[in-house]
Amino acid sequence: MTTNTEQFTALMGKYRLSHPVSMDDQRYVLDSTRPSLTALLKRKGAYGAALGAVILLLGVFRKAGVSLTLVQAKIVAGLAAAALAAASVTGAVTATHYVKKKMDEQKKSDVEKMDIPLPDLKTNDQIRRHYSKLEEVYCDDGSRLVGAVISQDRKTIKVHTIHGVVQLPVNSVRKILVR
Amino acid sequence: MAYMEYYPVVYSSVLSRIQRREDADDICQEIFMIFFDKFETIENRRTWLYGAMKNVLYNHYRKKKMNVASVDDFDDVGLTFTNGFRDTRILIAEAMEKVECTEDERIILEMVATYNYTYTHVAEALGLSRRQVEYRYAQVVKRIQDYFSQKGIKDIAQLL
Repeated sequence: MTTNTEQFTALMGKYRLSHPVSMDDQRYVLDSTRPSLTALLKRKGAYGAALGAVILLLGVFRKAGVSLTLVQAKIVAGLAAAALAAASVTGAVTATHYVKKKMDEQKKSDVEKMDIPLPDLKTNDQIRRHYSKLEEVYCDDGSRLVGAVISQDRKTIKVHTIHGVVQLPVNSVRKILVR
Repeated sequence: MAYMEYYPVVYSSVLSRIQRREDADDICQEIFMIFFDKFETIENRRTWLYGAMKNVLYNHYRKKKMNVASVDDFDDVGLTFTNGFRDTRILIAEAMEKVECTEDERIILEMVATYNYTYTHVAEALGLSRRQVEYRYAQVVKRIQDYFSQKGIKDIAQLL
């Protein structure tokens, strides 16, 4: 097979039927195909960003040895755009969540940093008056605290009692009743 | 996407005639502008493109005041080289024209045999692998050889 092709090439050369294009020109032709198509479509007023993306994809796939039809390239471009949009939305949501989380953490730490001295409350009546409530906190181990729940997050709960502020793990609290 | 396949062949054909890239750029642009307008009505794209190329080239030569008798001069293999090889040239050109090929195979044949593109460059132009181009080219050459056999030429080497 190889001999035949070589002989045929030689035959074309001998009878001056070949018009060799230099390697430099070959490279130039291949590199200018896509830009010239873009220029043509612009001159015809048929060029748009979407079509530009399709042409770009066609060129990239061809260089990789994959021949796509225009329709196939459009589908690939559509899928790529959809994937890009989905990735952008996911990224935006993730970024928003991250920023919100950081802002919440900042707000929380700011509140915590506010060093407001708690009043010295010696009786349950004083606690009820100060917080407008009085609660009973029942723990899993059977113990009970009387006071006012002053803060709670996912892990801990703080109760102001007549003995001061007591911090408990949330999962150790069985129930809270209002007195 | 006919443009991507045919542009290298048409460009090479134009360049081999006028030798100037700037002119070849303009001429190809003009050919494909007309091609773009008439795309829907064209049945045989290759034939149409070569026909349009001849006309655009003829006009180009006229503008440059170069001497070309008629549009048909571009294709006449008998006229362009007449030092005793005329009949063989006609036979080879005829074999290339008549051999059964797909559109891609014909482009491969022209790019490799006529314009001496490397398999790698043809592969890049057509979105194929180098091995696919090499294989398809060998297949077409085999069919050309069969055509020669029908004309009584058993081996290509006989013509060399």
